[in-house]
Amino acid sequence: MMKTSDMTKMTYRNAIRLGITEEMRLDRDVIFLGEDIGVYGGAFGVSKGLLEEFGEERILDTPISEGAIVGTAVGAATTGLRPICEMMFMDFITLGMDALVNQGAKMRYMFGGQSQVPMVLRLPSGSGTGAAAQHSQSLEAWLCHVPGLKVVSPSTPAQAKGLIKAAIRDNNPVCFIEHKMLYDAVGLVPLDDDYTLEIGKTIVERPGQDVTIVAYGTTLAKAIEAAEFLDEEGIRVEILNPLTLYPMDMKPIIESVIKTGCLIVAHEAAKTGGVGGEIVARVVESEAFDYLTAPIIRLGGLDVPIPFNQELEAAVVPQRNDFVHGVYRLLNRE
Amino acid sequence: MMENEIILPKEKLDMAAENLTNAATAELAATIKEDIVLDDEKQQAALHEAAVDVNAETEPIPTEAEIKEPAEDPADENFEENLEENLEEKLTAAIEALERSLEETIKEGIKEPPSEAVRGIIKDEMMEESPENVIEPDPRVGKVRATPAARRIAREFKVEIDKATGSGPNGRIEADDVKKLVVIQPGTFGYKSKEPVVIGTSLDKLAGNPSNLFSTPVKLEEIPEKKTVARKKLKDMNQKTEKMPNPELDFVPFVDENNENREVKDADVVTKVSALDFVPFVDLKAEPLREEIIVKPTPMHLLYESEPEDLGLKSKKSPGLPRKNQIQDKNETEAKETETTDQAANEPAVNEINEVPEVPEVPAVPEEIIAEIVAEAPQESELAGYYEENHHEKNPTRSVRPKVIRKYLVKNKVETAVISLTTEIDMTEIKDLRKKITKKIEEQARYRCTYTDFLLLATSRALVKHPLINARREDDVVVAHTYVNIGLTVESEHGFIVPVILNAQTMNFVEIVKGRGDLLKAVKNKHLPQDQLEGSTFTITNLGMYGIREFTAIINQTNSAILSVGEVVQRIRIHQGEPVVRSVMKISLNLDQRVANGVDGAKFLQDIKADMENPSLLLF
Repeated sequence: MMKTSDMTKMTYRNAIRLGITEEMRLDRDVIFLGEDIGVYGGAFGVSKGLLEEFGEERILDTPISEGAIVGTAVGAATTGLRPICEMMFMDFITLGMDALVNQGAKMRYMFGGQSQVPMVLRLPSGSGTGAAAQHSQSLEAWLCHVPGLKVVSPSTPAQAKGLIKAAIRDNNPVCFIEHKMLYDAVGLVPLDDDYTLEIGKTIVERPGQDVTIVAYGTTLAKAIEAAEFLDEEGIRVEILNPLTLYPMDMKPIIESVIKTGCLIVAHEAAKTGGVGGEIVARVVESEAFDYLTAPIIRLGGLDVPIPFNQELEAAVVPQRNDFVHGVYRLLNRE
Repeated sequence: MMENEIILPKEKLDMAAENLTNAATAELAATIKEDIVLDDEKQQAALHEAAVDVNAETEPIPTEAEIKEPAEDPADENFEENLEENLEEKLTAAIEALERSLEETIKEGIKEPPSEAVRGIIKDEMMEESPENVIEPDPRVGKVRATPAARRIAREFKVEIDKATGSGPNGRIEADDVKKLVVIQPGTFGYKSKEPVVIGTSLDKLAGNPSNLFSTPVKLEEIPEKKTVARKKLKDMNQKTEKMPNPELDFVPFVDENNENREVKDADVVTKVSALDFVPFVDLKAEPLREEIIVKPTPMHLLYESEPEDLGLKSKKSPGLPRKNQIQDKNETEAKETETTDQAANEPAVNEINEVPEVPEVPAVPEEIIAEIVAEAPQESELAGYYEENHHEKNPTRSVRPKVIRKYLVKNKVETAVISLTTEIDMTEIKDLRKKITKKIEEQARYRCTYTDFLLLATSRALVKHPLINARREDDVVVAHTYVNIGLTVESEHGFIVPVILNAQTMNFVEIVKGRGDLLKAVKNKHLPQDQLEGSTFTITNLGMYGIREFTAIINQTNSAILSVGEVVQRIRIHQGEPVVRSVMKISLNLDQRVANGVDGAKFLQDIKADMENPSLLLF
């Protein structure tokens, strides 16, 4: 356990910046490229101050071309650099998809390991900012579908720091999915510059024995709120955070479902074809099937573009009450 | 009425069987056969079919084995005896077939739907009828709606999951519902340790549980809370402090610490126990408390309790025999000694034949008993056959009637000793109350409330107070239900069925009105869900609307009692010292006396009467 004295309170945004800074200081091969990340400090202020410390050679302001950013990063990675590239919004990864999916994800496999692509793609995702349909999507399921990519999604500042460092050190392309609404979340972050979180490890955010909830991103925070609410009624909800969406560590989830017999899987991305469906499928395939006491519930975004209207935007994605009602339904309290 | 129809062939069978055993031989049987066969050509065909069926059967019906045994015949009589047997088989089969065809005719009418070939050339107006005849088979019919966990528990404990009553949404059977079914018979279950087996523990590993790939061994002491609850319950039971029925009693682990002779079986005998709060172990012998709470003395129980040491000795002497057999052995001798009724003498004998045919010395059984057995045993096998047939049933239009009646017929005769109690209820107060509230209730429940609704409420309340009336009997154990599912006999176009109002104990008056209304509507529209078709814990039958003043009914199988409701009529009664006209109704309780005795039944009726005569009591 980390001592509290070794930790300090900071925002999610600053934790990511801290992780990047530490890695750039440790490894001269790490470069950072993206739109407006230099002088402006990034659309969400993550890269503020980096230009001053590391200079224009390592902090690269790029033209408005996501295809160019990802393509450059894949190429740079194969030459031995460790590029971090930022999409201003995750939605724009669609433009960089060819370089990422057809080149970056396949290269190590196709060249028999003689080439590798140690790059990190930072992807600010999710709704809640009123940025409407083209700037609010959560497209992680697309990325999870491509073997060769790793997909991580931290939910707290500490996780953000641990995972961004692990992602930079990983020799494969890692998609680092941030949530826009989490940037201002505050939490204790370890100051140790060797602090990393292993990729491919699911953690238990909150132990319980009545219902298992698997959630990540902002939905995790809503799940925890719901769990606190349900706690007053004597319902103990176990919340698991997969952290790595691909390759996901299913063992703790299956164990938890065996324990509780009830499962809710939640994410903000559209329900159809979402990561949640994959988790559910794997649970049902596993031994845990025999321990299910109720049909599994998937909470996901409605299958509509994210609306601009903030009321509607909130209605589209799962909220705290959806969790509460889901739990009631599983336990036949409704 | 419906009884008589079906019993008729059975009586014939009885006669035939009696004659056979009296060695009146082939001629007599043949005449009977002729009598039956000459009736109809169709029936003769059925006879042929049945005969073929019988020949195809590999296992002999237990009855024949029995007939062979008492009479140790010289060789020259063998032929005759075989003939006799064959005839008897055919006869039995023929009567079965007749019965079946009769029922089908009653149910479906004589006309047959036009075959595919014919249908093509039928005129248009006739075709309009055909969509009705071709009913899409509902894929849900015959399937059990249950959670995976419930199925697993049913599998592990070898319980038939379709016997559970679903408490979940849409009657889904959940793990707890299956747990209610799990009762372990004494002597069939051994413990290596006094501790229950918990998945992931070393005991579980011993039990060779191959699953649980992810379970890490945990010491029993480390398992929190639930464990202590179970322990506490165990303690409480041993102290014999509890008087009230404990709804979870079935699942409290009970370890017979006094019994030194307990055979320590290997771990593979130990059933897997998936959760600590569910350890279904019941040892009747070591449990006087259990008897107090939910097990009433039955003839068999009395035997267990009277000479436990004797049983223990026996098990030492003959370790080869499973304990169950020994008990039956014991039972049988006891039956000989005591002067018993026909019923009591019959029961052990039937058990003897069906389950332990290899026990050699069967004492000379009186002839009339053999006759009874001959009459009954084939029906049991028939029941099994029917059950299987019904299991694969796909056609939802098929009537439930044969099943219900057969259950009545077969099981009841063998297994119940019924008493009836009748009381009169003054319905004047209820009548007034109903007038006052009927409009309001109709607004809320969308159905008009009836006297039956008041009776349902009073009954469900009384059943909670008298769990024995709301119990089921399983061989030698009586298990009180923790829930009240009231079956209502309803006339449908296929005859009487018994749809069920589930969990009546939790309902208030409006919910009962609504529940009953929905139920009748579902029956009328033929949308009755499978889970409401069976699974009653108590039955109410009402013939009041036909002007029947008072009657008794046959106990629905697996229930221990049935309440028959008569007509509400105006009679002069002395009320507060004055002769006045009051509305009165008679209700009768038919009660299986081996589950509960007359006093239990009387108290039960008393409670209903009190509630009904002072409906304000229903508020509390």
